Amino acid sequence: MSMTQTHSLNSKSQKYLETVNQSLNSETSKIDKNQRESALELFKSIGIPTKKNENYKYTNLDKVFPESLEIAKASQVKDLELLATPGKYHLVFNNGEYQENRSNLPDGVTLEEVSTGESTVTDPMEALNISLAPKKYRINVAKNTQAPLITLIQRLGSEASQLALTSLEVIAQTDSSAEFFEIFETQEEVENISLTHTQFTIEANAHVKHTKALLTKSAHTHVGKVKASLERDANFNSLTFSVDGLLNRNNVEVAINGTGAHADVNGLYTGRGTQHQDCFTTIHHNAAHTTSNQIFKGILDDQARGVFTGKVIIHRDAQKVDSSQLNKNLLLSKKAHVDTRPQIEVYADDVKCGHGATVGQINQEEVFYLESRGIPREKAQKILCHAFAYEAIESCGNDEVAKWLGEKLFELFEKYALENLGHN
Amino acid sequence: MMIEVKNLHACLADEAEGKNGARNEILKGINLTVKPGEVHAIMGPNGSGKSTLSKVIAGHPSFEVTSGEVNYNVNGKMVDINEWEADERSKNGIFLGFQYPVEIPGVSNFSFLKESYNAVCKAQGVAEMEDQAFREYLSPKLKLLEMDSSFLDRGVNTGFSGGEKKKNEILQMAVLNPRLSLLDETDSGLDIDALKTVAGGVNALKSRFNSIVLVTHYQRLLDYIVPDHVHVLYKGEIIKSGGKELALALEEKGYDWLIAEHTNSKPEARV
Repeated sequence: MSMTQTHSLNSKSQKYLETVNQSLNSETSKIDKNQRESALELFKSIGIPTKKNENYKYTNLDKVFPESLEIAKASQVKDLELLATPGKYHLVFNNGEYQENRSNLPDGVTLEEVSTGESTVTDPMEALNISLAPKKYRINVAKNTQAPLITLIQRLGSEASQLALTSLEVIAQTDSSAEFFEIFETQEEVENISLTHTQFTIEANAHVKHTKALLTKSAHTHVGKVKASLERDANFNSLTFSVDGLLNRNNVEVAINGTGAHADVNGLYTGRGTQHQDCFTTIHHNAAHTTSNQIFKGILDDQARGVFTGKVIIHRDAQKVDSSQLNKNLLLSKKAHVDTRPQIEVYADDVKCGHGATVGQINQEEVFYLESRGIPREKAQKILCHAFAYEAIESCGNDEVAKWLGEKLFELFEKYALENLGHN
Repeated sequence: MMIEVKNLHACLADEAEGKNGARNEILKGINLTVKPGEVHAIMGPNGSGKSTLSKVIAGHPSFEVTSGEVNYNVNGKMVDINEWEADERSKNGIFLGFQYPVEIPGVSNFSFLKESYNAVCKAQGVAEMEDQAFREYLSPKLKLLEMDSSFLDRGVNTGFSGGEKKKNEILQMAVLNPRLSLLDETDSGLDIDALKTVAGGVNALKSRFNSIVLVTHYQRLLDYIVPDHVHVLYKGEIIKSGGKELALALEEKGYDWLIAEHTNSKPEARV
């Protein structure tokens, strides 16, 4: 079966497959070979997604991935000064490899390199990540630990067309709580790629917050997955902050497996020029009395393209589920474009499930209100965009992180305004 | 003189380039002169153009002046401000109190007030203020309007009651200390206590150096802020001007007698 499907792969995907097969036989990865091989099955059947793949209908990855597959090494990351970030605890990774000398951990939290881990894959790019990642780490938050904010600095650095891979797994044990701020930053303006994976196992009554911020340069392509499974009464709060880069595909997949568990899955994407931002969420309600909320906001200017797909699947017997989803978009130019699609599948009969999407422009009455108070129009528009975005940013649930992201966003708006002036 | 409006005609900006002259003039030749220290009230039935007049003076981009002048006193000279953007007018001391203040969730009232104050200070060459100093500057103004300081940390007008929104408008007026305040239906939707507070605020800010133009539908406000002049606007024209007794006559008899008087005086309308 898999043989016949392999034949349908295009030549690029075939080449990728050969490279992965070679790497499976060499010892470049510390990750269990069987696990890597089984993950690869999905990639074998689909390959690099094209627009024919329903989940990638608006984002043709095949077009942006290079002809040949080359993995960036940890040593390619320059040891530049670390970004000033909130919190006292930092874990630094260079192209996915842990940098112990630059990292520190609070009590009750440990990190180890692992060779196996959760390996069910639902996406061909996730499969590619698992079968290729040179290293995988597990962060363990011990039972009853209330950990402070930990910033994960994922430094990416490579030549053009190279692929950087990161793979992290977090286990939050029963009754623990932890906050992670994961920043992906690229060092140079080259057309490189990152393929990332961050996985959470949240045990009973544990609470985890995760903010993923993409501070990548404008030629960078990112395809990443954040995945979480929630046990009884567990709580997961996820924010995806995707504001720069050439093309970003952010997958968030949450499985709510235990009664009383709750997930907040939020995001902000902004695009200008010809940037492309795609957020794809999947939430499985596998147990009764579980709840989820989603807010995704987008601001798109010039010819930028945004895509939001929110899949909510309420499985059989998952009664009394309450789920809501909202996607709001601000289009700042006539050529900016957004595709938004809620995909709700309900197999239980006693549930509440809402969704909504809006696409609009900046409200001119609001602009005039600010103008009439002495604030010039251009600044008024910036303030209003920022305010629109802030609702999403705030949802990360950590004031320090929210403030930091808010400032980053403002810098980006300022920088963009300057660049635009330069064009005139 | 503070402001001198001469034969002002205006229509919606969308209709300004209207096909075959199909545009609908909202203001049809307004003449109005306001001196420093004066309070003027502009009254009139719904749809007469009262709000439009105040918006046009404040520089709302939805309206376009098709003819006439708006001359405003800048450093002792009367300047035609027709081409000025709204923010320039604000920086030069023109303030519009909104009939429907806009809610801006995500922008705190404090940062909005500070941003506004500093923008105006910068333009006038006055030192800008830091957070702490600005909070101290705000404190007596909040007290004047019986507003709690917690208002500062909420989103601009977000979830405010009608009365709170109007108080917030007068708070902004107090912060910016304008020379010409146009207060558009500041009284509408207020209960009597809120009306007294708002009117008290306006009266406290009134001086012989600034001018206030009240746009109102009801005479009630004028019991608390006493006007020097009252103008009645009807179908885009001022059809009657007088002292404060005119407002009382309107309260008693309504607008109909004035409208009838006006219509009869226009020969073409008799046909």
